[in-house]
Amino acid sequence: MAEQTIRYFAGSRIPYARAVLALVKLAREPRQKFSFGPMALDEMLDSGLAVSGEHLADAERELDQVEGLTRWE
Amino acid sequence: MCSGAPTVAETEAGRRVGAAVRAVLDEAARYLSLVTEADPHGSAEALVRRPDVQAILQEALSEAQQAAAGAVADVWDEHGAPETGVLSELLGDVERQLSNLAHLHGLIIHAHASVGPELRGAAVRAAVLKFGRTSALRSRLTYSVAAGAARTEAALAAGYAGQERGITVLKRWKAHIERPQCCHWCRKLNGVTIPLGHSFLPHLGGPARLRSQALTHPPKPYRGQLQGPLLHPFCECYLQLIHVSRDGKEGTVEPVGGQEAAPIPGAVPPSSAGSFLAASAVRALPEHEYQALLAWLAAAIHELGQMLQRLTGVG
Repeated sequence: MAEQTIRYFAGSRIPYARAVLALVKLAREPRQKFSFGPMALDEMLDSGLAVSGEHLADAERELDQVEGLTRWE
Repeated sequence: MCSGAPTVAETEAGRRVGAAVRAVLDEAARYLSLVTEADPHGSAEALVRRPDVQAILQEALSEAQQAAAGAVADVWDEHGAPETGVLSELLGDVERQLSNLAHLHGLIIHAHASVGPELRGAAVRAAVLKFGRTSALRSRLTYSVAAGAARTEAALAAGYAGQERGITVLKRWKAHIERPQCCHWCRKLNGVTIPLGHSFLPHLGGPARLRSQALTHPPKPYRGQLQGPLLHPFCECYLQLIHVSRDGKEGTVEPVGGQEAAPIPGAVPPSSAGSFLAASAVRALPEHEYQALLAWLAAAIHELGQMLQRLTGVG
């Protein structure tokens, strides 16, 4: 399966911080194979939060629940 | 993409668009909360069918749409950009987000049904507020894309006008690589010089390893087109026109449409693009370190929230 990247934007640092927390928790599951970044909140404010991997359904589900975070198609 | 000074990145005008969209939906949320609390045992369907509720929601969506679409059209005009399909697409995005009354009804009905009668007012209010926040953010993103696309369209129009006068004109992607926030992809495009009608997409390349073992794909440009910046919302890249003389010498043309070329005084040197964290790296952490990281993140989020609340109180 091809690797894909999804990108989320938020208007402040808090949703990004919550998203990072959610992804760090999810990452502990052995089957998860994704990476995310940039790992700098200031940079996230500009470029959004990118998540890359082959199976992103779980990450998407987690991020869709983070208030203030919007997926950019 | 890059950030820092208020060029295309989040501007005061962009924030105002978001605030305007949010304000009208906040008002509607308050009204729905009052109406629901007055009749907590009524059905959700009856609530959204009420003429006053229908009118309030329709008016809120309409006002929000006017604010966002007006700002997009204004920033387009500000840059003197010609009307193109991109402007129509952006206005269409605004309309889709802010004209779907049925979607908003669905959110309200779902919130109404999800709790008991005593909490219905708060749940309905929260649902409309959430819709308002999402719409506000989307409007800000659309405004940012409009500002950047307008700059590019204005620059391209100037370039084509030059070509009609017999001048050979090329376009060059310029990124603020002196800013640490400038992303990998914009750095990659910096300096790429191509004919006016060509796309920058082939120069963007494929997935890259950004300081981790995992591959990261480049951002998808708006509607898949990349005639010039921006590459993504809040991108600060700009287009430079290059006039080529008959003997092959290049001359740089001042950016048009308000494009910014000047480096930021005192800016941090490049090459500090943000790193990515792989899930496998998180799993490799010993349990005690992982738990400490979680606790630290949760505490940081809590502290940030508390600080913002205190600031709101000061304001």
